[in-house]
Amino acid sequence: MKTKHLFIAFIITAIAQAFVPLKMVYDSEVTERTGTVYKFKTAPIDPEDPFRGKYVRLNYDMSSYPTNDTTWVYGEPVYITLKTDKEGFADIASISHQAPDDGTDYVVGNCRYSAKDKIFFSLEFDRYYMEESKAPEAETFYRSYNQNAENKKPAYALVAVKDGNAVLKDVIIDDIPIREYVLKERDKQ
Amino acid sequence: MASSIIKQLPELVKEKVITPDTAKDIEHYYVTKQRDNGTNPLAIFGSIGGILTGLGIILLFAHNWDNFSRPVKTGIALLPLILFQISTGYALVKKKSQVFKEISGILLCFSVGASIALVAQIYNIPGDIGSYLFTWTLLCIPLVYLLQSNTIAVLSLILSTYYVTQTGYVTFQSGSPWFYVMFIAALLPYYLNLLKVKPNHNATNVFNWLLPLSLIIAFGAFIDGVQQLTIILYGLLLCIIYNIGMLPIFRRRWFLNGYSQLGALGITTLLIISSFRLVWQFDIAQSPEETVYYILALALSSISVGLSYIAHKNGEKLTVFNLAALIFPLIYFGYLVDYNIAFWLSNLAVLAVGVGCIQRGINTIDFKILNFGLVTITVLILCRFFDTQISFAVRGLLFLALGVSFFIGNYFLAKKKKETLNITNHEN
Repeated sequence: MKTKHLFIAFIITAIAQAFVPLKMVYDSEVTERTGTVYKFKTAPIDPEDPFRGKYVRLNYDMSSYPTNDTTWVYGEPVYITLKTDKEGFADIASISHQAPDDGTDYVVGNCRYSAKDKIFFSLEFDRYYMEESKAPEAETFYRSYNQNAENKKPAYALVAVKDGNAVLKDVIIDDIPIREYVLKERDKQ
Repeated sequence: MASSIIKQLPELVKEKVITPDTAKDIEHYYVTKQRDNGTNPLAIFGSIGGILTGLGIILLFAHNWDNFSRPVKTGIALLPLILFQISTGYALVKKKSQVFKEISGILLCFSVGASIALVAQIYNIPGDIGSYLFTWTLLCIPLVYLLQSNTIAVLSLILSTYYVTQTGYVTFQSGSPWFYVMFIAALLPYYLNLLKVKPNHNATNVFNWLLPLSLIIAFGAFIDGVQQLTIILYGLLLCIIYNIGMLPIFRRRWFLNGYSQLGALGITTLLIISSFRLVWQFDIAQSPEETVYYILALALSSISVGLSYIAHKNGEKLTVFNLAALIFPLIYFGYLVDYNIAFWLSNLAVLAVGVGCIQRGINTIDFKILNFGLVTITVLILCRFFDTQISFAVRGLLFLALGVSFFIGNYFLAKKKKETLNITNHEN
């Protein structure tokens, strides 16, 4: 192959290589800047990814919905239309096999299993990456926070939603971001 | 060895055993051969350095430096990618040395993975390791051909295998393992070209081990839900791998022929596993296996027999492992009639492998093959202790007999080797 052709082929490869992370950045920025922010009640637990580092895995309260529909299958995407409840947290308005096209905010879940009158699913945005020493501490501190009966405020995730794309902005414990919460608890010890 | 010959050349010239011109020719031959074998230290250590640096970048990013602001972190994520794209582009245009291209390409390969990982980390973008590895591998494979890079080819093969284990065994994403076939198909022309142009190159030797290993690891992801037939299908795949190793192009020293070694070891291990009554006893299959798997078994068996035929035509002496392509289906047919037949057939097959190897070891004066046969029979007897009631006295006698046969077998082989050497020396 001539150098010129080789170089053109390389430029195409290089553009594709740069396109992937740039598209990820663009989509996330657009959703964060222009999307609606919802609060999802959650509990953090700590696992790790060999390439992306440590993260707190979020166990959302929003994980099931009553339905008589028995056609749901494992792994199928669940389109969850959102509303806000009286306390200001995200709640399910309805679920569907297809993405709603009326402009309402929705997130995509993954069908785990369906019981007789209920469907169980997981939400996609369940990883909040943290600095490697803070992720395990976040879980420990949250557990002791949760065990304390005086703490009535639930932990929640701030999620920006736009056109089915969801960006996890932050996780809030006791009204402050999880990172600051970890630093505050560290100071106490 | 080459360097010791080169060192002796001045002495040989001095003693007038060879002429100075011949000495030059010999030196030139070994230097060229060494270059062709891919044993250029700069290329090897450069590649290792590139891989370590690349992994270092990924690990540093994975730490998650939360003191930096998001734009700074995004910039850092994309910086190595742009930097190594420029250096690789420069290497291509300026036609830099292969070592330069190789190292630059490796670093670019890792920075592609690092940039995607870091952006996903910064924005908490969901996605499991499988989908991440898919994108990474897909974006690296073109570099194999553009840079003619052996190391990136090996890296892509490793990434593809990692990908198939994640999607096929860990997360069970339906349909996803098939992309592995696509990756292998994309890498195959490069490997075939290596076999054709540089059959003795280090990279070719690495591929000769890694490709069959990758296929063995990946195969299970495609036969999800298959019950007893799994052993048969896997066995037949290993038969094909063994037979590929018998093709003339792979006729080389045993440790350079991954196909034959992995095939023989895999076939023996599978036969030993199937020699347990437990494997066949419980009919866990709720219904007969899907027809497609029977067709697959037939196809694998036919390919294997075909390859054995080609090897035989090319003067290779067939072994008990070539017969395994017929033994595995026979065991399954036995199972369909009565599970006890499968159990006994498997035991006989392991015994046949053991005896066959001992015989071949003695005939070819090869200690490795002889001892492999002895070990196989020992393992078979050890395994039978688990599921049969044999008295301690009989066990003791059996082990004594085995121990003695190890001594006797190796002693006679050593004697035979000595005699053969004496005869050769005498004839000379």
